[in-house]
Amino acid sequence: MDLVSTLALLAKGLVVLLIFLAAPLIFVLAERKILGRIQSRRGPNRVGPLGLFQTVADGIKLGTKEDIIPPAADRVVFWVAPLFMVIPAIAAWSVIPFGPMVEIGRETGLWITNLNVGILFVLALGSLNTYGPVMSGWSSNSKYAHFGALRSGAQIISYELTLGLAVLAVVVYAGSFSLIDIVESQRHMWLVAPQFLGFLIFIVSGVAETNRAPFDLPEAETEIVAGYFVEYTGIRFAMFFIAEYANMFLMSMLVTVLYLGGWNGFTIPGLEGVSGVVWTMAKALTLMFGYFWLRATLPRLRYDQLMSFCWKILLPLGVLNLLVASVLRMVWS
Amino acid sequence: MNFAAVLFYAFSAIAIVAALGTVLARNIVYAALSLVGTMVMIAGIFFILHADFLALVQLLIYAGAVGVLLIFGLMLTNTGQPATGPKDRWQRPIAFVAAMAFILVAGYAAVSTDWMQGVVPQLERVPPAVLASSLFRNWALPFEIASLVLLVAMIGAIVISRRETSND
Repeated sequence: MDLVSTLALLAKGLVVLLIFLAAPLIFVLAERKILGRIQSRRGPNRVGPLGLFQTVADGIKLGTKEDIIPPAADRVVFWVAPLFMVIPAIAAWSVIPFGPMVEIGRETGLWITNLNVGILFVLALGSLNTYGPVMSGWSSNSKYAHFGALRSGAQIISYELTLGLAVLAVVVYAGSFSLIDIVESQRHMWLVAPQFLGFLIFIVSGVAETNRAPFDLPEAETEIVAGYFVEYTGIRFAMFFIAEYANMFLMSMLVTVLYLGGWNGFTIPGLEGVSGVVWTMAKALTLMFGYFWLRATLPRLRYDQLMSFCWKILLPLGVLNLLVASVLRMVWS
Repeated sequence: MNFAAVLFYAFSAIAIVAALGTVLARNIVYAALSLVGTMVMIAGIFFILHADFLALVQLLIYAGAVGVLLIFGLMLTNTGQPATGPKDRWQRPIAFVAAMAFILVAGYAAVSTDWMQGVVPQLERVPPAVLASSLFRNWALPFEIASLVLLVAMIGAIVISRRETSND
């Protein structure tokens, strides 16, 4: 690897890191504003013009608060658990394509690396996402945290299965595990059309994977306070938030890449060079709005309903979807 | 020493330390977490050897599913107290003999193996399609038999756990 491509790689990594750190600030504010509007409120409007600096102020507050470790907690595991939330969340971004090949001095793709098993990489890191909640819940030595961790572990394992099944059907259509190839294969038709059932399964599983409403039982405020991170304070508490919003955005990017054609779309006049990036971002941000909308609209499920919905409805549908996709693919090719 | 070799030694060292932690840790959750650490490091070694698919399957199944289920089970049963010293002291000499026998056999195998020396040949990255066709064409029968064995084990587990609940 020569110097220029090493520098380019470093620059890309830095950009992704910046997005990773800035996204929660922007999305938390957007969520509070949108929730406010949906509920006929104004949302945060005190700090800065239109309340735009609210999350920055919150971030400074969290950063300067005392980092408390409860006396009954397991110190080592309690201390490292937030890192296990953040590390898989950021590593997965290395295979997400933001745009097509572009010309910046030389040909380069708007992704960090094109792994030929890219989507498996994302799924594998997603399965490691369970350790953050489980470790923090266990080490807190608190009943609420314990329940949150148990719920989160069971939920993430279960919905990881249906997520994987939906992804397999996409792989059958695209003929590749690489996210870049998957986007390329959707040049003429977005996969949401032939894979509508898979699209729905993926979205539902994605919401459950990220522990968001209406599947936010691991942190259900009304019954177990905040679930697995109830004992955390200050910057460690902020890490859970960063990981949650980064994972939501990651899930939105994945839906965009797998089903909504990624960077494919007509060239926007005036934005010739970057229309691919604009398309990707527009699709992903629309899906993020969907996340907020769901939270404002739907009540929380009961825990047994959540589990039986996954194993008795989504899983058979996922298998059926994969079977139909494989047969259709064999007939057509 | 190139970058891959540095990574290899780092991963191996952490894997060995974590494996020792699995065996020696008194706190059973620490032992389980060390086991997960070992598995992640082995996935890293697969990555260095250009076996991307194998590495990710290792992460997904062993570090992801198996490890989480283990810790999950521990959390359901854990009383919060680390295990105290061994109760059955009469087992110690027998355990010593068994361990010595294992070390002898493993040592003999290690010494008598003709280890590949010198430069490691340039490894090629196998695309998943090639792996899949060899798995489902050349090795279809063993693959299917393995899945049958797993199915039998799964049904067995369900039968055993159901019998307990139907008694009351």
